Amino acid sequence: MDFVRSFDYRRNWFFPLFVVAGLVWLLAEPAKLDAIPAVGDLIGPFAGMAALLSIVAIGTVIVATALRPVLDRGPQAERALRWVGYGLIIAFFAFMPLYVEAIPHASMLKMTVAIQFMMVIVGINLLTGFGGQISLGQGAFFAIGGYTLAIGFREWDMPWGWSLIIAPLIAGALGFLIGIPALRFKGPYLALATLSLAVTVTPLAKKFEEFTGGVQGVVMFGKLGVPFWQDNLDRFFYYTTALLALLVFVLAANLRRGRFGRALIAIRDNETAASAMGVNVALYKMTAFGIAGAFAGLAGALNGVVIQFVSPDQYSPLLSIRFLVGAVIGGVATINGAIIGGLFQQFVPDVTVSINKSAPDAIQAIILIVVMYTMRHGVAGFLQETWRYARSGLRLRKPGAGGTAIVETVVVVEQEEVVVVRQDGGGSG
Amino acid sequence: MTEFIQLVLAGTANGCIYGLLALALVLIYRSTHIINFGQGEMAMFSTYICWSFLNAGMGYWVAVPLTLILAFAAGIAVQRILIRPVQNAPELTIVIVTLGLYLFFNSLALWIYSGVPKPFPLPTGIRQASWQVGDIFIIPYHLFIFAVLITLMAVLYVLFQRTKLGLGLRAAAAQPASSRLVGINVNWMLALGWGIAAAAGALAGILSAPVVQLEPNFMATILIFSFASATLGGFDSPPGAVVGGIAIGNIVALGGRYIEFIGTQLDIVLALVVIVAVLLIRPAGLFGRQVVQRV
Amino acid sequence: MSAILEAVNLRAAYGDRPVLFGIDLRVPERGIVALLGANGAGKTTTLRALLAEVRTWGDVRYQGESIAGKSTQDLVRMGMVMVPEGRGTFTDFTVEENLLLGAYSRRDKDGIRRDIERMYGYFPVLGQRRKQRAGSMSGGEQQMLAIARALMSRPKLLLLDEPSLGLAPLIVQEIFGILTTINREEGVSMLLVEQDAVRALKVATYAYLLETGRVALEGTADQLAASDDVRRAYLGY
Ligand SMILES: Nc1ncnc2c1ncn2[C@@H]1O[C@H](COP(=O)(O)OP(=O)(O)OP(=O)(O)O)[C@@H](O)[C@H]1O
Ligand SMILES: [Mg+2]
Repeated sequence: MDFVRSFDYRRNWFFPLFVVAGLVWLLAEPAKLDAIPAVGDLIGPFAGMAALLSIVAIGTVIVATALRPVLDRGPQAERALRWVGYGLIIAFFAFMPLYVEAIPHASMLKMTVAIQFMMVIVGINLLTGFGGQISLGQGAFFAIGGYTLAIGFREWDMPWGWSLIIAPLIAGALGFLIGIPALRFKGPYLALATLSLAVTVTPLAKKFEEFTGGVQGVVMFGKLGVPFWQDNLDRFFYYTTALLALLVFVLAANLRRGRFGRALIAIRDNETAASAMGVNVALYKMTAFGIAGAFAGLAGALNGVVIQFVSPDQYSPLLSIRFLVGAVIGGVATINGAIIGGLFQQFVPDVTVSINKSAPDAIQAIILIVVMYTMRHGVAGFLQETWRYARSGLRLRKPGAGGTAIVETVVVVEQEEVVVVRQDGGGSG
Repeated sequence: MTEFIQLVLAGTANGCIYGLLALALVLIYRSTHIINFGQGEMAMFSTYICWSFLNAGMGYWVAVPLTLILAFAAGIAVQRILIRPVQNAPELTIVIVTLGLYLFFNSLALWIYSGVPKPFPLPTGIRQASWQVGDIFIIPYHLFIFAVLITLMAVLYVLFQRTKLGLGLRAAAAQPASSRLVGINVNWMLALGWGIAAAAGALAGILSAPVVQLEPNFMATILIFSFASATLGGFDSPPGAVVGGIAIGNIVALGGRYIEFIGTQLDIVLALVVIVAVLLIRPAGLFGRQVVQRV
Repeated sequence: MSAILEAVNLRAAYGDRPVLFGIDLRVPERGIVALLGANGAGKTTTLRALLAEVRTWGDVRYQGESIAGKSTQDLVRMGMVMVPEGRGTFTDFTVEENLLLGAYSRRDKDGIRRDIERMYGYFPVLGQRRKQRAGSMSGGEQQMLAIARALMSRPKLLLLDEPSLGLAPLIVQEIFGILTTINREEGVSMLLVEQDAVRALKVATYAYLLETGRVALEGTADQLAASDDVRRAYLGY
C-alpha cells in the first residue's frame, strides 16, 4: 500500500502507537491488564481512547481511498461529501433519543450538557483558534449566563426563556468590554488576566448573597415550566439546546468563512501587518471576545435551566480551564473540533471517575500533554491531516506534496523562535 | 496604630511567601518566556513530599533540604521532558502544557493524599508563642520566614552575579543563540533555571504549609497572589518579584481590614485588581525593563 | 598544507526545506578562505551547518577528525568559533562580561585575565568601555567586541559572518587589519563570509563562490578576482 510506505513516520511516530494501543485495548480482557495494581485501571481508558482515535483515523483513510474516484472529479465532489458529513452529524444528534440508551455512560441529560460545552468551545475556537487570543476566563461568561437565569428567577420570576436572550446579550456586552483591556495583553499575559476573571466569579457570587443566594445557590427544581413534553423534560431541554447549538455552529462557521474570520486569522498571524492592511484590530478582537462571551453566556443559561440549580461552586476556575482543554483537544483552530471537545469534556470525566475521584483530571492532564506533542491541532486537526495525507499519499510516492502543509508549519516555527527570543512586557512599553 | 503594625507584620510574612513563589515564576519567565501556571501545584506537591518525610519520622532540618533537592531535580526533569519539546511552539501550546502540569499535580495530590488537610509542623527550634514588644506581638515564625527569604536572596545574588555558572545562566536566558556560540550548554542552563525555580517554589510551599492548612488546593490562592506579585514587580526582575510579593502581602492584609467591601472573602479580587491595573498602566511592572514589543 | 577544516558534500536544511545541496570546502591550516555569494546563497547557512546549528548531512573533518554528531558547544570547545551575522552581542551585559562569556569554555582564570588585557590591546576602544553596557555601543564597536569575544575562546578556526556589514570603510579597514594580524601572529585560520568581495579577496588566499546552495566557482583569490563572472556580479567593474 502506497499510503503505508509514503507515511511520514518521523513526524507521525505516534500513529502506529495508537494502533498498538488499540490492540492493547482489544487484548486487555484476555491479558488481565486490570490485575496490574494502580496502573491497570488507567491503561483501559487510555488504550480505549487511542483505539477509538486510531479506528476513526483508519476509517478516514479507508473512506478517502474508497471515495477516490468520486473525489478526484473535482471540488464539487469534495464539497458534496462535506455536506454529507454535516448531515450525518446532525442526524446523529437529531435521532439521539432512539439510541442514547445504547451508548455507554450516556443519557439525554449528559448529551444536553455536552452540547452546552460545545457551544462554549465554539466560542473559544473563534477567539483563541482563529483570533489567537488565549482565554482562561470563559467560565466567567458561563457563570453570567447561569446567574442571569437564577437572579431573574429569584428576583422577578422571569420566565427562563427570556434568559436565553438576555444572558448572551449581557455576556456578549461584557465580553466586548473585557476585550478592551485585553488589547494590551499578549500571549501568557492575556491568559493570566483572563484567569483572574475566572477566579473572581466564585468569591463574588458568594459575596453578593442577597442576589445570588450565596453558597446555597438558587434552586429551581420543578419550577421551570415548558410548553410541551412536560412528562419528558430531558427531551425538551435536549432539543432546545441542540437547536440553539445548531444556530451557534452555523453562525460560527459563517463568521469563520467570511470577512470576520479572514480578518481574525490575519490578526493572529501578524497583527502589525493586519493593521497595516487596514484591519481594525481593536474592533475585531473585541468582537471576538464579545461573540465568545455571548456563546458561553447562552450555554451557561441553558446549563442552569437543565440542571435547575445555580451555585457559586459550579463556576470554579477549573471550569474555565476545562473549557480551554476541551477546545484544545478537539482542535482549537477548527469549528468541528468543538463537537469532539464537548463530548470529551462530558464523557471522559464520567467514564474515568469510577477509577478514583481525581482520576478524571489526572487523565485529562496526561491526554492534554500527549495531544500537545502529537496532535498540535487537536483531534479534528489530526483527522483533517490524515484525510489530506491519505488523499495525496495515494497519488504520490514521495511524502513531498502531502507534506507541504507540514513544511509550512515548520518554517513558521523557526521564525517564531526568533520572535520569542525577547518579548518582554505585556504590551508596548 | 498597633493593629496597623500587627497587620503589616503579618502581611509582610505572607508577602515573603508570595515573593518566593513569584521568584520561581520570574526565574522561569526570564529564561524561557513561559508563565508556568503549574508552578503552584508543583510547589504543593513538593510540600506533600516533605510532609511524607516528616510523617515517616524524619527531622525537619533533614526533610526540608531533601525535599528541596528532589524539587530541584523534578524541576529539571519537567523542563527536559515536558517543556523542551514545545519550547518553540506557539504560546497557546506552552500555556496549555503548563495548565496540564497544574491539573496533573493537583489531581495526583488529591489521589495520593486525599483532600483531608494535613497538619504541618513549625520548624524544630522555632517556638509557637509570640514575643510581646510593647503592644505588639511578634510571631517568631514570621521572622523565620523573613530570614529565610533574605538568605535565599543573598545566595541567589551571589550565584547569578558572582559566579561563572550565574553568568552562563543569565546569558542563556537573555540570548540563547549567542550563548550557544560561546559554548554555553543553553538547554542545560534553562533546565537548571527550572530546577532552581522549582526549589524556590517548594520552599514557598513548605514555609506556608504551617500557616495555612496543607491540602491539595492550598497553593492555588497563593499562586494568584504570586502572579500579582510578579506582575507588580516585573516578570523579568527577581528582586522585583520579592518586593512585589511583600507589597501584595501588605495590600491584601491592609485592604482586607480597612476596605469594608473587600473583607476576607474578596481579598483575591484585590490581587486581580493589582494585576489588571499594573498590566494596563505599566505592563513591565515596577522593576521590569520596558521593552518595545517586537512583532 | 594540511587542512584544518574539510567538508565533503555538505548539505543542510531548515526543517524540511533544503538550503545547501552538497558543498565541498577546504580551509588550510593558518589560511584565510573567503566565502562569497549573493544574498540568500547560503553563506550563513554553511557556517551554521559547520557548527551543527542546523540539520546537516555530509562529511566534515576538523583537524583531521570527523565531527559528525558533535554539538555546537563541543565544537566551540574544540576551537571552532563563529562571529555571527549581526554580531550576537550580549546587549544587557557589560563589555567585560561579554569577553568573559567568550571565554566560557575555558577554565584557566589567569589566562582569561591576560587575554582580556590582550583584547584591550588589540581594541583600545573596548578597554575604555569595559564597564559599559555592550548594547549601547556603536555598530563598529560591537563588531570589534564580537571578534574579541570569539578570540577569547582561543579559537583555532574563526568563522566570520560579514564582519563589515553596515560599517564605515575606515572601521572596516581597521577590523580587517586586525584580522590579518591575528591570522599572521596567532595562526588562527579563518573562513570569511563577505559581501564586500574586493576586500575579502584581498585578505584571502583561496575563495569559494556560492550560488543557491552550491559552489558555483572556486579558486585562488587572484583567480577569482580575475574571473569575469565574479567581476561582473560581485565586484562591479
Ligand atoms: N531560519 C530559517 N528558516 C528557514 N529558512 C531559512 C532560515 N534562515 C535562512 N533560510 C533560507 O536559507 C537560504 C539561505 O540563507 P542564508 O542566510 O544562508 O543566506 P546568506 O547567503 O547568508 O544571505 P545574506 O547574504 O543575505 O546573509 C535563504 O533562502 C533563506 O531564506
Ligand atoms: Mg548571511
